[in-house]
Amino acid sequence: MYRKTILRIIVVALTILLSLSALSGCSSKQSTSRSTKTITITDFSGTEIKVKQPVQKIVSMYGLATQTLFLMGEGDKVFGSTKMAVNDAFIKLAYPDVSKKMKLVTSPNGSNVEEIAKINPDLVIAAFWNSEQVKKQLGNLKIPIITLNMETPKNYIKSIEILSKILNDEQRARSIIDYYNENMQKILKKTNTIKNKPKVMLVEYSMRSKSLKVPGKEYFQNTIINMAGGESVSNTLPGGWNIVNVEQVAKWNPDIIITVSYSLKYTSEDLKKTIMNDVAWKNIRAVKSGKVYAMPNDGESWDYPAPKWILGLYWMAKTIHPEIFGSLNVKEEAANFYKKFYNLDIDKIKIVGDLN
Amino acid sequence: MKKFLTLYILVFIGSLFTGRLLVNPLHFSTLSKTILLDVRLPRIIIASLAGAGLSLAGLAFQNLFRNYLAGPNIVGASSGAALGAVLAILFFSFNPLYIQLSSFIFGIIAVTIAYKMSKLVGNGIVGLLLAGIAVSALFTSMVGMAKYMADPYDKLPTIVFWLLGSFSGMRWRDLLFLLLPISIGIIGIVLLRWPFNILSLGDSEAKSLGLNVNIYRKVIIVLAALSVSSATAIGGIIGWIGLVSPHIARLLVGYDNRRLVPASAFVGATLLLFCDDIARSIAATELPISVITSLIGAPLLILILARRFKYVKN
Repeated sequence: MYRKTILRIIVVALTILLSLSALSGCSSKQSTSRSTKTITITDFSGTEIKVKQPVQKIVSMYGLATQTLFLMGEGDKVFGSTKMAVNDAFIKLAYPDVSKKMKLVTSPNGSNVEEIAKINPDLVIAAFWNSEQVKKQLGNLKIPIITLNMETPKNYIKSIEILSKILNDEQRARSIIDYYNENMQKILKKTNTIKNKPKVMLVEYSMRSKSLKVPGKEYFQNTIINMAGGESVSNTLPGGWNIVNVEQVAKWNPDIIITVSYSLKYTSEDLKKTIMNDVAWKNIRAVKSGKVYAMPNDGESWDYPAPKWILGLYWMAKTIHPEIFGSLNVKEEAANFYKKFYNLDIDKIKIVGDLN
Repeated sequence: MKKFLTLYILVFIGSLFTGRLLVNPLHFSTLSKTILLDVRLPRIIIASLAGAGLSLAGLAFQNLFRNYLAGPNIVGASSGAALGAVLAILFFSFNPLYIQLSSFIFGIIAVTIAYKMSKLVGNGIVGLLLAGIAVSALFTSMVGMAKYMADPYDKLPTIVFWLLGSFSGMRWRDLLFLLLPISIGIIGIVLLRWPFNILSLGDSEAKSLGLNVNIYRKVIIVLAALSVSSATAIGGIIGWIGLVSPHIARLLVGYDNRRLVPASAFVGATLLLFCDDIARSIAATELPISVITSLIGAPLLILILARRFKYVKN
């Protein structure tokens, strides 16, 4: 009898506690206070983080965030990052000096907390998929750590907003955000009404002879294809990259194939050649009609949620619907983009892929 | 043996018409014709050869070591082949031919090392067994090291996929690579079925019957290493087939190697072909073959052992 009552009390107490914590989670809003030269920010994990101003040294465990900091002109504050960012050929070209001092602090199997502590950063940026353990360890070192999710267009723009607040650089960020929003809307306005969407398949080389990887439903590549007025054949597959064989491709029989590569040793053009020369692919609709296109890559491929995704969107729209976007000159738009945000001449950048 | 052949041919024809793309046997479109002739047919032949090769290698080692738990990896061939492939993925990742070649060569190297070392650690079969285990562990640890250092975005998933095995992306050219070494392995072991019976009596009995045990042992190891290394180079690590198929065959035809050897070859080919059909057809995503072979092989082994135990008890 007694035991039952005690059990009931515990259950009620737990429920109250849970609902209270849920409520408090809802009420926290993004607020900035500059009284003691620290600002408070709410990140994607919903936690409020206090960051001392000014932020001079950043360690980014999120390669996409590092690339975006360079877009924002704040790349010189990044002292440690991931393999993707440290090896980024575009950053090396645009900011050769900065790129050299950037240290590799996250390995495939986790982050090197000691190495990060040695840098003694004012801020650590984590990805939403980073392990909680690393975040906890860094938290113990009293290093403020913000969690970002950049992997949808909306979240990408919100991430820029958060970063600009922390770095006290909201004016420049505003112009970047406006650029992305306006140009995205320009494309969407034309593609929203399209009824007849071609079937598009985006493939990456899996390094295993002739089996290829296609992006599953969580991946940004499918979002870009959709925004550009195409229907991605792989958008119902689970999770991230899926290995498929040519038989499945034959079943989908896509109208358009887009090849991508994240390595300059085997480019999207090489992959395109491999596909075009493989007898097994010759009767796939896209191959038969010659509609296999190589995604541009300037050191960073244009198809993932790094700064160039907006160029990827132009390119994708023009590739899928040349009849609608006939007047859109992707190369010219890219030239403006490089000039505006990186002060680089497009002629100085080596871009592989079908750009023209 | 006719029964085995008939069953294999049935599965072979069934495999031709199984897959993601539905093929109408009465009316071929050009697309389905390419899929049938340039994708499915080479893959089916490759999977069959690999299955037969692995099964025979497993049987050969089981005979050699007089131990039913011996599998194709017992002297380090698969571990060596795995390291070869992983190194090639790390350093020449964009040329699939290098991956296959390096894998094949490292498989042979591992077996050679194990054989040489066996002279240092003991006499005859026990020495070889111990050396094989050590070499296998050594190569496996190096694979682990390579995995740790691999790029997590593209190379690591490739290595993991490779280590679980797959016949995805097979074309006629891959068959060309496989054909010579695996044919030598398969035909060689089939020809050795009579000496196997004598070897199974034990070293001293075999010697007293006039069999040069040392030479036969060497030949068997070379043939099995050829089969395992080439099958692994093409398909990646394929678990269980080499262990389970000889047991199934033994249950069906008994212990006489003259019948057991060809039966094992057919069982291995049929079983791997069947598993590969599942791997490529069940989902839009290609499944790794070892996932399927273990899923089917492990319960099958228990079933066989249980039946044998019941038989022995009565």
